[in-house]
Parts: sequence; C-alpha cells; structure tokens
Amino acid sequence: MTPLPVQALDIAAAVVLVTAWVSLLHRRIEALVDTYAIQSAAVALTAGLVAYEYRAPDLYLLAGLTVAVNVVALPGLLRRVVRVLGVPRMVNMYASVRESALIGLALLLLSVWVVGPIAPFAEIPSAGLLPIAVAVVLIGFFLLVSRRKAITQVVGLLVMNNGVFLAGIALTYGLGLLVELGLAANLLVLAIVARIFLQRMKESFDHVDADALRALEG
Amino acid sequence: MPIPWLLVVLIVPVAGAGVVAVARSRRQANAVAAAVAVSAALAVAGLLQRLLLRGPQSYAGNFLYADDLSGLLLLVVALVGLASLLYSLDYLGRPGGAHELPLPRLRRYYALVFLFLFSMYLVAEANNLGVLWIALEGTTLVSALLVGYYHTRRAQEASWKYLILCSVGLAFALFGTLLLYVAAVHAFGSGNADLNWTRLVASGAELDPGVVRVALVFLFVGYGTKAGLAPLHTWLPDAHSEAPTPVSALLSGALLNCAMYALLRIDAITVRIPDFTWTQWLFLLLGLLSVFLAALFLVVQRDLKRLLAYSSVENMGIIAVGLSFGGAAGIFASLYHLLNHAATKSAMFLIGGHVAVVARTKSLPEIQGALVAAPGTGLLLLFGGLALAGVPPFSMFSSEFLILSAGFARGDSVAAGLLLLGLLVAFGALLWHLSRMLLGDPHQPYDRSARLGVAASLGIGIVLAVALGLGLLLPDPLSQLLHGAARVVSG
Repeated sequence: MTPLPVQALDIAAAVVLVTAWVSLLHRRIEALVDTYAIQSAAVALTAGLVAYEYRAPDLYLLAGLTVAVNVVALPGLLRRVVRVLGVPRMVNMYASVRESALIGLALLLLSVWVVGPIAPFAEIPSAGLLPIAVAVVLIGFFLLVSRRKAITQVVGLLVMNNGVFLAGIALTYGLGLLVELGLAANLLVLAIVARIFLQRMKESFDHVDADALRALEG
Repeated sequence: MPIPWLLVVLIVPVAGAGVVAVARSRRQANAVAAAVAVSAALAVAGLLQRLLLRGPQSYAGNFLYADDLSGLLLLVVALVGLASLLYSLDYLGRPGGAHELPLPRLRRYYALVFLFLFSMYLVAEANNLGVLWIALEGTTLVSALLVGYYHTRRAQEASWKYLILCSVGLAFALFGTLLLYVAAVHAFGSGNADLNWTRLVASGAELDPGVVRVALVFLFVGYGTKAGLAPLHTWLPDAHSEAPTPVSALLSGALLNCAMYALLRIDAITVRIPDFTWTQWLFLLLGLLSVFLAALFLVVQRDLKRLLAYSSVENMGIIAVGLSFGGAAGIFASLYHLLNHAATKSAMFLIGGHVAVVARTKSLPEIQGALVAAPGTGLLLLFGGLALAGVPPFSMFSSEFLILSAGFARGDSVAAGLLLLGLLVAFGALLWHLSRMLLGDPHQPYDRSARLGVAASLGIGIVLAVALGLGLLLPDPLSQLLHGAARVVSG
C-alpha cells in the first residue's frame, strides 16, 4: 500500500488544482479570495508533506512562509481592500462561468499532454505534481486575462504564483533560504503596490474596473 | 583591506533613500540626489577599474559576483542614472522647474528612484539566478510606482498595465528558472546543484537539452516581456510615454537592458550545450518581429514620447538579432549597440521632455518649426534625433553597421537582409518625424521662458557626448570591457 504521506500529498495537490478551477466559477470577489486562501493552505501542506516524505528540510521553511504570506497576509490585505474601497461584489467577466469552466478543463488536459512526456523529470519522485502545477499556472493566467476587475487580476497573478511554487516544491525541494525569503517578500510588496494603485484608481475614477483603462492605444 | 566595491555600489543608493526621506527642504533633497548620483557613478567607476585590472570580482562567498558583462550593465545603469538624476534636479526639484513637485512628493520620488537604481545594480551583481529574478521583479514593483507618479488617468492606466503584464511575464520567467534548476539537478545530482550562474556556466555542456528547451521558452516569454521584445511589448509604449521624463529615460535606457542582461546570462549558459541553437533562433525570431512591428508603429506615430518608446522596442530587437548572429563579433556588436542605445535614448527622452515643455505639447503633428521658434531646443533635438536615427558619425550608426556585418560575415544573409530592411524603414520614419518637428511653421507660440537649467543641461550633455563620442573612438578600457563582456557570453 502507498504510504500515508504520499496519499495525503496526492490529496493536497488535488486540492490545489480543484481550487484553481473553482476560482473560475466564482461571481463574488470575497469568495474568490477565500478560495485563494484555501489553495495557498493546500500548497503549504504539499510543501510540508514533500519535506517529510522526501527528507527535504528546506521545504518546511517554504511551507511556513506560504502560510504566513499566502494564507494569512495576502488574503487579509485583499479583504481589506474590498472592504475599504467597496469593490462592487459582482466579478465582471469576459467569459461566462460555463465557458470558463470548460476552458479550465482544457488547460488541465493541455498541461498533462505537454508536460507529462518530458523524460528527465521521470527520475524525480514527486514529478507527478508538475502537470498540476502547470495547469494551475495556466488557469491563473486565464483568470487574469478573462476578468475585468483590477483586483481579480491580482488574484489571477497570485494563483499563477501558487502554481509556480507548486512546481518548485515538486521539482527542486526548495531553492535555498535566501531565494525563498525573497520570493515571499516580493509577493508581499506586489500586493502592497497593487493596493496603492487600487486606492489611486478609486480616487480618480471612483471605481476599480480595469476595463475602464483603455485610453492608451496605438 | 581593499574596498569592497560590489557592496559599496549597492549601499550608496539604499543609504541615499534613507537620508532623502528625512530631508527638511527642497534644497536638502536636491543635494542628496546630486550626491547619490555622483557617488554611485564613482563607486561603479571604482568597481570597473578593479574589474579591468584584476578580472571578475566576488563578495560574500560568491553571492555577489561581477565579471565584464556585469560591468557593462553597471556602467549603463550608472550613466543613465547620473543623467536622469541631474535632469530631475531641474525638472522636478527646482522651484519653478517644469514639473515642480511639492517637498513630500519630491522626497518620495527621489527615494523611489534610488531604490530603482539599487534593484538594477543588484540585477547586475547577483550570481544566483533566483536572486537575479527577485531583483528584476523588484525593479518592476518600484518603477511601476514611478510610472504612475503623475496621478493622471493615463498614467494610472499605463502603470497598472505595466505592473500586471510584467509580473505575469516574470512569473513565467520564474517557472523557466525552476526548470533550469531541474536541469542542473539532473546533471550534477541534488547535493551539488544550485542556481549560481558561475556553477551553471562552468558545466553548461552537461545540461539536458530537452529540459533546457522548455525552460528557454518560459524564460524568453518572461524576460522578453520585460525587455520590450514583441509581441509582448504592448505595455512599453504606454509606460515609457506616461512616466515622468527622467523616469522614461531610466526605463528605456537602463531597465530594458537589465532584462536583456538576464537573457544574455541564459545565452551564456546554453551556448555551451553542444549543437544547441534554440537560443539563437528565439533571439532571431523575437528580434526581427520587434524591429518590424516597431518600424511600422514609428511610421504612424503621433506622440513624441511614444515615438521614442517604439524606437526602444526596435533597438531591443536589433540587439536580439545581433545576439542571434552570435560569435564574438556578433555579441560584441550587440553589446556595443546596447551601450550606444542606452546613452542615445536617454539623451533623447530628456531632450524630448524639454521639447514637450517648450512646445506645450507631446503631439507630433503640433510640434513644428522648433528650429525657428526655439533655436536652442531645436538644435538639441536635431542632434539627439540624428543620433537616434543612426546617422554617422553618431555611435548608433557604428554599432548597427557592425551588427549587420557580423550577420553577413556569418552567412546569415537572409536575417541580416531583413534586419537591414527594418532598419531602413525605421530610419526613414525617424528622419521624417524629425524634419517635421524641426522645420515648417510653428502651430502655436513656443514657451521661450522655459529654461533647461544647468544640472539638466549637464545631464543631457553627458549622455549626448557619449552617444557621439563612442562613434568617433572607442577608448581602450571601454573596448576591453566590451570585448571581455562578449567573451563571457560567447565562451
């Protein structure tokens, strides 16, 4: 029988993937942020389990950082932005929920088809997570380009980053203390900068619809 | 004990940001800015001298590392940083300057510019490719705040687009970096692998080409976006045209080269894999596409700063095509062009900013007859415009010529021929716009009371002198640096 941590690992990775897909279905921004928080928790759990199963102590640190930054700090910051700026609750979409759901599935198939066969990865025991990670990156990218609210674009970017983190966990067992700290710090600063922009947009346009931003062309 | 220049270069701007934050008057803030501009340039000069005499430098157990290629980027950032800070003193800092900022905003502006410079210096000195990525994302975050520094609608649109598109690009680049790391683990075993460039380049030949190919696609999409290479350049004309003028000069003259530098580091690794030509093909494809798209947009352009921005896309394309020709000659020519373009474009953005103040508009059809209406400004525009178009004896002519000859010499006649065609279209477009701006009847009275100021003139003078001077002669130390940098890449 497969050892317990490996089963748990599969489940955690599955949660990361499913939450990415679910984020395409939401119509409310708060729900989107909650889903992102759950996804980040699953990424952290994956990191912890890989650390335990494959004896990669570096990854415990990454797990801790993910909890602190992606589970607690970033969703908190985003919720406050929603509260303070009063972003209207509906998430405007270019693609309907049904189209988004189908495109999300297509992206998953695409990444399994493209990333699966790359040979050297087969030697890495946890490389099975890689297609999932790529799918999460692509779904995050699709979330970013298909939604109109500026704040949804930020969440899309963060989902992409979770995908990249998952790939890092699966393939490299950690990139070293300094790089990981830097990555986490970058994410935080990104969120703070985005907040400053949303504030400014609110002040000058009275709404935070990225769609209104199309004066510059040619 | 020798002075650790690598560290000094990084400390100067950070310390400057701390000091300027507590400046109590405009005079103090401007004094700090001038001091940082000059001392950062001196620190880089100190480091360059050490580099040329003693070879690659490292600090803190190889964490910071600088060879001739880093030296070239440091030189470019220091030069453009010096010019644009000097220009800022008059443009934003001086009471009665063209875009005078109130003290709190002036302090914040200088602090952000210093942090921007710091992150660019870190790009040049990072040995670890992960740290290089972090520094580049850092440049995006800081400069996005600077692009939106005038809180106008257009500036906010531009900075938002810039922040999101470049962050997305960099997320792809991070993924590519991870894959490169996987290739390293595969080659050296997990205990021995790291993301240090010195390690990767030393054993580049052992990397698995299959993994590297996938990594390259992500790295080129990611860093290519940030370098302004088509088709992911769409943020560039917005950000570079809506930013305050000195920031535009930094973005076009210094920052684009930081992303190009990341690609050069990758190129230096992959060129050592036997029979591996993907990097060259990617450079050629993205480069030619950039040159042609930009040339077309140059023809139809109606805004002065957007014209300059599209010209940056064109020149990044030229550099990429030169890199695709490869070999010591092609890479030397590309790096020479990188330096020339940095000097010329920053000069031209600074001049363009002044033209927009004097003519009271950035709209190309409305700027006419500058030579008659404001002869001093018109003359500057004439010099800068000819330098940018690549007329001899300006330096951009020399490097474009060298890139083309490298291409023909290697037998890449089709690619070199296409590049020549693109260059001619862009050349014609720039000269046509330039002649319309300089000659003809002025549409409206020019603001002849607008003065450039001593510091701003000095800033423009420095970069314009480099743009002209490097076409007349290449001083020995500089030639040594460029050849050394080319050897770092070509092996």
